[in-house]
Amino acid sequence: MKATEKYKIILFLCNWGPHAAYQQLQDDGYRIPAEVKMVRIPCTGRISKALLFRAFEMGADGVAIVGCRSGACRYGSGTQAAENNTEDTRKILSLLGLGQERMRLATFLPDESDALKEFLFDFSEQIQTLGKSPVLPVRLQSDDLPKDSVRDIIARHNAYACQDCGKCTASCPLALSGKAYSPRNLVSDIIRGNGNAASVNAGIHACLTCGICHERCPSDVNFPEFIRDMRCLLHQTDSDPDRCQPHGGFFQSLMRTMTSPGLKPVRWNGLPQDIQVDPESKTLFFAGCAPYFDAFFKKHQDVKTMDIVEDALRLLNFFDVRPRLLDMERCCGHDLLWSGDRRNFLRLARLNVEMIQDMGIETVITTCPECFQTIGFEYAKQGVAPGFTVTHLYDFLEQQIDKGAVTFKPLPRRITYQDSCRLNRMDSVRDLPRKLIKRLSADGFVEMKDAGHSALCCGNCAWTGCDAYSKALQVKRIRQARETGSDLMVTSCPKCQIHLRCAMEDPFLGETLQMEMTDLTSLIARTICWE
Amino acid sequence: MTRPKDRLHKVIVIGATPSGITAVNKLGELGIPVTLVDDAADLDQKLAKEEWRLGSGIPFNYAHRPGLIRILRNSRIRCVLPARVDSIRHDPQGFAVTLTRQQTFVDPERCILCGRCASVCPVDLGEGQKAVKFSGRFSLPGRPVIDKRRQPLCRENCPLGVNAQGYMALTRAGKYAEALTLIREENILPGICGRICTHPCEDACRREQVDDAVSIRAVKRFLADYEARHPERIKVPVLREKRTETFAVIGSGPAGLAAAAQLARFGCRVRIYEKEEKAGGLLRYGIGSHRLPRAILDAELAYVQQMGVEFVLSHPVDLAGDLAAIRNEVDGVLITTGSWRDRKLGVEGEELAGVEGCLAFLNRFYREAITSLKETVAVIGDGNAAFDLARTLARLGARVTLISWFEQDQIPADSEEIKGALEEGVAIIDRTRIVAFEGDNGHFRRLRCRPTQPGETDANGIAWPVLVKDGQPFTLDFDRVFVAIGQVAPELPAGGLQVNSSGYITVGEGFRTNLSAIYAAGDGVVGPSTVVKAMAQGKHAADQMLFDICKIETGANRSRRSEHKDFPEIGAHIPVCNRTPMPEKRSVTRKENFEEVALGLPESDALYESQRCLQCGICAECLQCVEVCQAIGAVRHGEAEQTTVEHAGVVIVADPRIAPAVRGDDVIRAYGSESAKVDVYAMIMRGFAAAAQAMVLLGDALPIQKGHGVSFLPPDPTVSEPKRIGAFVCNCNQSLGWSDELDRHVNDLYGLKDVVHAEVLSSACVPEGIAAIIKTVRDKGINRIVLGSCVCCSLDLACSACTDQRSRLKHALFTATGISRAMVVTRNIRGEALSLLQKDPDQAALKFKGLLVRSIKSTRSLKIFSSPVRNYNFAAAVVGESEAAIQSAVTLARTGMDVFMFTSTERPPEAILPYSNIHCFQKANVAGISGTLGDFKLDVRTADLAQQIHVGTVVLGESARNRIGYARQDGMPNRDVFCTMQKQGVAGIPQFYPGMTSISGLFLANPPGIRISSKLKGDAAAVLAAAVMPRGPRKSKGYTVAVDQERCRGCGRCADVCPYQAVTLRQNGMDGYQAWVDEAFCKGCGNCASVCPSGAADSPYRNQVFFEQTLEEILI
Repeated sequence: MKATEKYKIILFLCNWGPHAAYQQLQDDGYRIPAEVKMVRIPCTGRISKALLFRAFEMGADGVAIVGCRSGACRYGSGTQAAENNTEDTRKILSLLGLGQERMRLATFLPDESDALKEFLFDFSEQIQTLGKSPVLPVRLQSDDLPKDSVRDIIARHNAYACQDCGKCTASCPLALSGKAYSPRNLVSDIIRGNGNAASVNAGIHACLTCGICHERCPSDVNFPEFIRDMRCLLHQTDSDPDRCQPHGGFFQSLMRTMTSPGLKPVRWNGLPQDIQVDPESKTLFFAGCAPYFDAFFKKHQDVKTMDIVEDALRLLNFFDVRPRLLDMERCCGHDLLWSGDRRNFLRLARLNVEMIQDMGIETVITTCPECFQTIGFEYAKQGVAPGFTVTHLYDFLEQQIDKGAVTFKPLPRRITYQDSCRLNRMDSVRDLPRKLIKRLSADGFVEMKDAGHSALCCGNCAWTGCDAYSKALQVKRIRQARETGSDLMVTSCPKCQIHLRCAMEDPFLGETLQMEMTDLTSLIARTICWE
Repeated sequence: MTRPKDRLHKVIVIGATPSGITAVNKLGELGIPVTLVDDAADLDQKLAKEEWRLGSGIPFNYAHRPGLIRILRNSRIRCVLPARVDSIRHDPQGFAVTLTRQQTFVDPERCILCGRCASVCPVDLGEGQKAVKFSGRFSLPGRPVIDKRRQPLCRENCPLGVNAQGYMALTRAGKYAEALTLIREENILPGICGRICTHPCEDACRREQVDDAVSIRAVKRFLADYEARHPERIKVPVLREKRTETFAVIGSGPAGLAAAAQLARFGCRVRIYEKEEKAGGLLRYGIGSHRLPRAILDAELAYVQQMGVEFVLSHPVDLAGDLAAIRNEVDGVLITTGSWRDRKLGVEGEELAGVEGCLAFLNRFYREAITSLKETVAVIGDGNAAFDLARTLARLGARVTLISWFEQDQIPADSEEIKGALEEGVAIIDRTRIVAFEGDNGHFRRLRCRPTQPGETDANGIAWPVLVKDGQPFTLDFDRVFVAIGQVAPELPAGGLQVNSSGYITVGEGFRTNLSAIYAAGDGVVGPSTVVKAMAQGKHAADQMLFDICKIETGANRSRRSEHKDFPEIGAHIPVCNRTPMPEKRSVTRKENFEEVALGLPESDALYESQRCLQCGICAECLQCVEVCQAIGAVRHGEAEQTTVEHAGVVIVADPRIAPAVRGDDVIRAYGSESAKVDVYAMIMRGFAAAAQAMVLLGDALPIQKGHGVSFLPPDPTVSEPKRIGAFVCNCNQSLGWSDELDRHVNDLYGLKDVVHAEVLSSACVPEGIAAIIKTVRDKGINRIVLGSCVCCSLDLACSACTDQRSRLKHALFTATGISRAMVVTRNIRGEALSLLQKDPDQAALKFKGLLVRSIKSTRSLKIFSSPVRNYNFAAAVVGESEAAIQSAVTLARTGMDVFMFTSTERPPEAILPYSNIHCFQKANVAGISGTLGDFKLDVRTADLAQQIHVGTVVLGESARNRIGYARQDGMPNRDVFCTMQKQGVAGIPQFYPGMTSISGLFLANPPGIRISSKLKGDAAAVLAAAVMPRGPRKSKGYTVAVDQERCRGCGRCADVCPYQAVTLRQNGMDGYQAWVDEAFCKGCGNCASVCPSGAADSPYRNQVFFEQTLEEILI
């Protein structure tokens, strides 16, 4: 193998201008660098962030997306779309420590073959200067996970105890939105051995794992966990286990990338000056995936989940806690596990636990419900017991505020609260956020029609099963929020914000679905003061 | 012509300017047959002009490439390129246009643009320019053009017609064997002629104008000698199929040999009768071996023998007695007995002993093997033969004096002969005429002479000497004298053969004698000439015999030249490089023996000489290109210029430069004033307007639809089960190389599941290749095809890199063959693997294999293409009352379309009154427009009535454009309608031409910024509106996006991003909306797919999974 061939550069090449230039190079006998692998595309605007990023997950050392100049795109909008997609993806590459230089967007006119030649050469040089990507494609790693079986899963979750009462289906928000979907049928189908049917497969992927069925089940069948384990099983046996993943599977791809031990994320760059951290502290603040979300959703929803993280840190500082931060923090793995990829979840879990333990951390504080649930409970259940305690920020806050001497600035808003499924149902953190909300000096707090035990999900979990019905569910939820007469929806999970904001984007219903949302952490951070 | 009906339903467009091209495209869309004429050979290059670059920065040829490909693929559009328009005349059906299609020598229907012809072309015009003008794979039509000028003078002046430029070019390229083969095509004796030919080619050589003529003869000799030195490289003559006809040739001199070889070349059996012991005739018995070594002669005779010619030696034929007998044995006889009698001086004393003719002596010399003649001798004469004799005598030890009646520098023999003779001690006495031979006792002693002076110059510029008046006679003493002043007719026994008064055989036309099947040629017919002329006689006689007796037309496939195209001028940049002198033995070493004097050019000098050739004819007709194109058969050197008269109802002149003057109101002129600044958009608009005018002139012959209609595409054949996969790999005439390894990889495909066929084709895009694929697919029941060629997608789509060849293959494969686009996975094997073959064969083979295996895998996930059905309303709306808007309405009405016109005026405009199919809404206010092509809704308020008018297409006037809002669908916010052209740096505007908008079916009567008349603008808008309507089933595109209704969240991002308004939102059962893509409008850019959050919008052809798999396959 030649020295340059170990490098792999994906060249997404638009059919129009640059393809003509590229073909000219081929016809002229120009030797396109061997590491450049061309994938022809109809327009640069076609290549989503997921596809751009997927190349890196698969081990590409560089990605060039080459299209037509602004003002020369055959379809008009392609160059702009590509600019947006590359900008966001480059930001994420940067956060991951891969380096945004590994991705380039370039544009050429059809008669600019010389410039294209120069570009290919130059980019190839640059990639070689940057060196190999530290990402090791998951496919190339051995699969050491023992195979599960349907029988074991049924037994594990006591699904045989199902009484066929149908309370689950009657309460399932998806079924209530009109989807032909029934937890009861799903369980009975699987028990009857019809697990391979396409409808069963689709059903397993459709579940939001919100857990309302489990709440209602007289036999205490933990349907969400049953579904999770079924997904994990499918992941081991299905040829295309990752279908139905929204955003082109971008987030699963991102998480899998993080399982590469050689990756050195640099996620804490640009933390505001006022936040104080202590590299010697025994308390670690675990942030979660906020910076990635913000980069990914910036264009569409103006999501700013990183504010929650920063506000959480300010709150810790407020109470004189200067935590330590984990530079190379990786995703907790919640979404991988819940979308069925247990193997890579375990990799992430081990990496995180190892790193945190090596730092001598005793307590991990987090504000993300999924991180809290996963690191705090799931890691141990999945056999990666952390040698530290995990605390939710709300617990910490409640303890501190309860000490007195703290008050809240007036908040002239009427509040309603959107429960996070993980906090609410899995960890029974239901009253704590309400308690905190009531401490605020707001104009009022009104519960939605479905709240607490029967709270409706934000419509998505673990980046799977997003569709027309989950949208209907979200619309319903937003309407419930608006019906309370409140003007601020307080959330406790960054993803509730992402998903509900997505639903508000609707050309016909848009106006009737608008509602301001703030995370409880931020709300506290912005109004708390010493007495 | 009074009625449009009388006009022939056809249009001729003269000039492939942007106007001409866009006019052709629109007429093509309207289904009107068109002939496009231009003097350019390549539309791609023609349209690459800098001044025609669009505002987006894209050159017109690239921007409009899909349109150009459509022109080539439209069976109703004929492109006559390059061509000259000789005349345009009116006739009862419109026009009669005389066109002359010029020669390109390459058939665009067969050429695969592999480029091998260009790479073998030895002509080097500097800067990489060759005679084969290969401008890359983008050319349209896709073929190179051979630049061939009139016959070079060297060849024209060669009696045999030897292609001197051809072998010069091949020599220059180091292809010596090929060069020699080319010579032998016409001249079977290259070694001999390379030495003793009188080289009329060199006399005509244009290099003389720069310095000296090219040493053509010396190069020929070099080639022959090179072969002799490298016998392993001798190409055994390729003979044609053996024939039954037999021929006899009498006499083995140059004429006889040339004739026999020609007859043998065409497969006939030939026997040569020779009276002497050895063959060669005059070559052996008339030419000194210091000039023509006998070994050379023998070798050339051996070659002729190898060709199958039988020599019967020492076999004199009595033309009076034996002829009939020989004639009876064979199908034809050729007499080439030559002219063997020395011409006499005709003065007193010529009969004395010691006076001998040149040939008589030489005959005696060669036959009796005289080795010594130590006497003082004179040679009378001054031709090459005289000098040859003088030098032969000198070698025998004689003291030789040559006596010429010319002045020394007027002596007609070759200067090198004179020089050689002088060096060898031959004395020359010039300006002397012999008036008598004097002797004693019947034996010659002395010459009586008189001085001469130049006489009057004759028609040929020769001043034949005359005696000096009162010149003093004088005598010269010699032991012997030889008269070498040429030959006269042989004394033929009369027999039945007719001879003329001079004694030469009489032949009629075509070398026929008075006796049936008996022909005669050479010196025996025309008198003494030169070797090359005699050979030419023999060869031409043989051709005639082949024609008469075997019915073979030897010149049938002969290449043709463009007689009207003159040689390129001799450039001032050509440096003076004098001719290489022929190296010779020094005179001191050569006088004593008969060894060859001229030594031949060394290889370097031969190359140098060949490089001096000016390549007058550009194409050298060396036919190397024909050889490499053999499997394809696209190169056609025999192509003739073709003049035809085309009739058409309408003529559009788009380029006045190439159109002869013609008058008449009905000539459509699609060009602006010469002085105006070039504006490509104005040109495009003029093209549209011209198409509109043509449409009006053709009137009701147009297939205009009225009312409503459904346009659907026929369902695609299913991709059926069980899977039977066939792989076809095109090696593009091995133009990029090929290897056994690649063959193996193809063969290995049989090992993959469901593969029932795997084959390598020498070319997929020629008719034979396509037929082979279709046949195999049918025979073997293949339902999934892998096509590894240069084709990169199977779709009905031409992008800016698509080529004539690619689209030709797709068109032929998918048009009514039962093979559906959906069944095929195409891979650009040529570009992605074969192009690496030269520089990195391992990488190429690896890629080759990888691409094929992946393609086989891809066939497993092929899906059928969908068949959208949609409703069309065929009425047009024109909003506004500007001149342009009125013109649009009138033009549309004149084509027969139903037009609704909306004006703010109280009364309808005068101009529309005659048209009953224009319905005018006066004082109408159009408040809003929604919908798309075929289904527009206009909210109209007139007086006190508000109504919604449904039309299929809308033309907006200027004020209407600014005022009226457009919504894709009711209830959605108004959308931006892009009306201006793309501009560098301005994002968001899709590509379209002036008059159009980003909304399909919505046009502008008066697009801003274009400086042409309102009338033309109105016409342009009309043709756009008329042509946009479907005329038949829409074709399956296959790449359009479909939205998964279950997964669609109705967020509207897709509708937002789609510049073509292909996406609408429909209410779903959950109080929400879902996106729906109208496949008739979707152009497959996929921008919606990349913004869709749930993955609902995706193109089945190249979906997310496809891309993911591709990445995985490439990377892992």
